[in-house]
Amino acid sequence: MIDLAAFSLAFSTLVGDFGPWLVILPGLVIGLLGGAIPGLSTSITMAIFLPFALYMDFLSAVLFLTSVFTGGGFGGAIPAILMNVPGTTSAVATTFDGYPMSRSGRHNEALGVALASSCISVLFGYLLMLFLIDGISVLVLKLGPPEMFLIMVWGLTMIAILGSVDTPKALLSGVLGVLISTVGMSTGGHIRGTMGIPQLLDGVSVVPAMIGLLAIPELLKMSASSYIVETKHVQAMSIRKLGRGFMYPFQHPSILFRGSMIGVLIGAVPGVGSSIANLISYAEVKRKAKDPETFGHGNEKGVIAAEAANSSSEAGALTTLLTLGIPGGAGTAILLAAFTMHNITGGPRFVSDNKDIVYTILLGNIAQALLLTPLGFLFIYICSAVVKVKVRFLLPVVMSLIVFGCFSLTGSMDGPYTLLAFSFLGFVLDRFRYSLPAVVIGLLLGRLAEGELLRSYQLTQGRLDLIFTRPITLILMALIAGAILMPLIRSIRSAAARKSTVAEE
Amino acid sequence: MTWYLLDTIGASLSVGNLMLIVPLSAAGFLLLAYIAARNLFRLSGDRGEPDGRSHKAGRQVLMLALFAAYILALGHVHFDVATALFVFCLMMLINRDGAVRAAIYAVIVSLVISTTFKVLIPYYPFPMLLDLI
Repeated sequence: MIDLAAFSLAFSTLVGDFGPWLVILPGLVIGLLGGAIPGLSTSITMAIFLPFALYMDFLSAVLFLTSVFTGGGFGGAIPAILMNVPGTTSAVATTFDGYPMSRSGRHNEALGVALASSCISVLFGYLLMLFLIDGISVLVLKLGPPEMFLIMVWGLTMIAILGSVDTPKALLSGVLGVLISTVGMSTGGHIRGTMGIPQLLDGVSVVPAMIGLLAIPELLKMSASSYIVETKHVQAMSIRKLGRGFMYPFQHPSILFRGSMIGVLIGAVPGVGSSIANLISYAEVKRKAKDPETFGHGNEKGVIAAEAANSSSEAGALTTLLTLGIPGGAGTAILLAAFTMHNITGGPRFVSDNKDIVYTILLGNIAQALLLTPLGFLFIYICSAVVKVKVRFLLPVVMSLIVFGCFSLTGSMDGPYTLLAFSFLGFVLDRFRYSLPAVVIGLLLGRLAEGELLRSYQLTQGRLDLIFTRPITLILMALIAGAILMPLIRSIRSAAARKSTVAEE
Repeated sequence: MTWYLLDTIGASLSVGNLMLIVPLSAAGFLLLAYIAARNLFRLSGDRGEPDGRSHKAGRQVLMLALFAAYILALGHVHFDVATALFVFCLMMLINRDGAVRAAIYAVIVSLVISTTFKVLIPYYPFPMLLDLI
């Protein structure tokens, strides 16, 4: 529960001091730009601006970096929606319905939906954290390798749920993705599939591979059009349509709530984070939807689910960092660096001794979510001009930016080479109608899943049946089984109902 | 997939090394066999071939080849020069009109992108011709 004395101190610190507010706005703008530039992910943007944090006091430094984090969380949705370029792993599910919406001329609505979902879920996530900051850290400590493995499996069920026209091909694509992700040195120290290339020892660089698979084939196809959105009258930037899109998530509070909860809980799990949260949230919404066949063709609910989860996961990740001192992903690792620069170590002691500072950070993040709304509107308004730029001018710039971004990610030519290899793979697989999102999901989760499976095996000394004695594992298994079986039962029931209707007629 | 499976088995026969890859490869082979059989006997009428897009494939392959040339050249040519050439060639490939405009655009885009990244990320080497001038 909230410590009211600490809370009021935090409130007065934030309201009474002008300093933190001076860094929030620039941080959000920097984050939006960093997230929106293909290849230059949020974490890289945070790393670029980390040295600035050295010249700020601790609170301002954390608020500045979390502003970049928050801005980047939404900024990544912009290229994902407008060009099918997921700048970060957390924007993968946003492309599934966001890009089809853009191609059908509903880019304003899609961006509005993404902005509202991001702002509300960030707000929700941090409000929840104000109340549950102690409880979440206890829960996270109870999660061991078997539970982590099952969370990965939950994410992998997404491959079957994606609803590709050709399920065997989608499954094979998923298998291919998982196998590629295991290339390199395994958790057990075995070297596999590197072909003697030392750069592959750490495995395939995921972001360049993901961009090569999803974005490049789509950009190549785009060259046949004159504009991203062909019809002239829908190209216009429309505040009315943006507003309509912005209001749409409010009509589906249950999707927002579910996505935000998934984001907070999975975001709090170290090493898992937003890249899985957005996939699971998308899968869950599709499973429960009455119109699952419209997903992947521009259903707004898919964008809500993905954006709600990836944005709220930031709150979960920050909580783990504050309460346990463990970074959940690259973004929080940069934050940890800022903590270290100010001689501060996160952990239970930090939270209990400095509750006012923790509350100030959480309240500052709530303020960021509120500020992101008007700023996001302005940013979207400028960015959506992209659909008015001729493809002939746009395509070379985007492709060059991607190459530079991939170079920045790895700090060497390994990034661009990975991008190139996966561009070829993506092009071939796309030509033969294999599911590229399924490959990406396998690629994102495979290595993590194998590591957790191996740790579970070692933990139980080869007796994996002992996993069934863990209550959280059983709950997760039941959830996964339900998630897989429920749509199956529902489709059998609806088929039976259709048959009986036909028989009656 | 076969090569990867054999390479993995060659690395170690321990359970920890094989526990995910062997069952997954087996599933992959089964799926491959099913898809191959289906295509062979046209069980579903889907032959797995591209759908009416073959006329656009030629240009896409050319673009991909150009993209490959660009990336491979980056390791040997300066970033700004390679980018300018890539932007110009890609623009001409998409639409042959306005070579002069394309050239000016390519130089500007290349300079803006190269300089921005060089300034933003000074830790990594972005070799540029501009540095030598």
